[in-house]
Amino acid sequence: MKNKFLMIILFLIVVFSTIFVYTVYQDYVNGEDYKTDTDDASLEEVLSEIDESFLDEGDEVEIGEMI
Amino acid sequence: MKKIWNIIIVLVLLGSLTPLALAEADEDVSYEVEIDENTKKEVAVMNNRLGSSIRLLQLEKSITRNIAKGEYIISYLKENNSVNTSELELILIELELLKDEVSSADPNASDAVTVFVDLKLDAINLTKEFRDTLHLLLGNESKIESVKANISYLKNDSVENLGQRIRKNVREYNAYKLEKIFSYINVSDSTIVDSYKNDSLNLSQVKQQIGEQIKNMTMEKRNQIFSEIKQSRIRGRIQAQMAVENITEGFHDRQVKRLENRINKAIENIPDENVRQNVEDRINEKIKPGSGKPGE
Repeated sequence: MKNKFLMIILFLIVVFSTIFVYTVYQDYVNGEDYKTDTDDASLEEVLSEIDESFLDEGDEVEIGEMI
Repeated sequence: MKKIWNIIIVLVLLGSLTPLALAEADEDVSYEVEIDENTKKEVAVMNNRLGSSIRLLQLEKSITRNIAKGEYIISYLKENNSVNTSELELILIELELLKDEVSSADPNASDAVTVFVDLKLDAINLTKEFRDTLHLLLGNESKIESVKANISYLKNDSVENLGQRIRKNVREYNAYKLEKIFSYINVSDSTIVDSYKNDSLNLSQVKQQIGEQIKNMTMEKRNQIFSEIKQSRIRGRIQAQMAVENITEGFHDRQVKRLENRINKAIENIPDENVRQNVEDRINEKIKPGSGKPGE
């Protein structure tokens, strides 16, 4: 009987750990674009990253139109 | 054995109820305030004084422009229609009070992001209120179109002045970013930054020059620059995300406090007793419990 109880507990631990690992993996997959150290950044990628650092002089904070 | 089974069943049931409890807690937060993607992007640059100052000035500019448009619409309606514009006038007075709050907000304050988002949401709500009231008053689509046609050419000195201040601050902000990028690529020559600062080079020319320098670099160096710039941008995004998450907490209480302060400002600044009382009543209506989300 004791063995059966331990088996059930073990089974529950395995199920919950699988769910946890799967959730973490999904978060990782859906998260920020990830570039590994082995990938080389193209000139376009570097320039686009630089581009993102600047603000546009014509930027507006949109609050909607009065009419 | 039966006892053990009962304990296991209770544990499983408790486990399955946890996500439900968490989901309800999330719903409470999202009821209070929803922050759109544009706002999240805007606050991403507010981790320094210049970025905060730019966003607050941009918000002030948008409100000032809407006030100018609102004033024009009201005078147009008074000349061409027999509609009662008093409700529109009260909304404009509240927008004026809001503009003062934005212009006196401190970009150096630790809660600058919260203040910006709160005031921006107020500006969006008041603009929508004006628009909805106007559409109710005019009703007819052709009348709305004729007002719209006249308004598109509207020029305003205050808006122009704010635009110039924003451009100056954006240049300073970009120059600071340029210095950082040059430090990554080990360029100590400050000529490009100075030329950009004093307007003899524009941003696309500067980007072109940086592109030329990066083109001639080794792949290793290029990767290093890429990862440094990306890391710095992601750090900014994480900070912004954290700031935005804090905003949802206590949003309602902050808004009630803000509206109460707005009433005090109205009492101080509006000389006409009738108008002052009407503005006070309008704002009090939003504070009243059970009136829905304040500001809506």
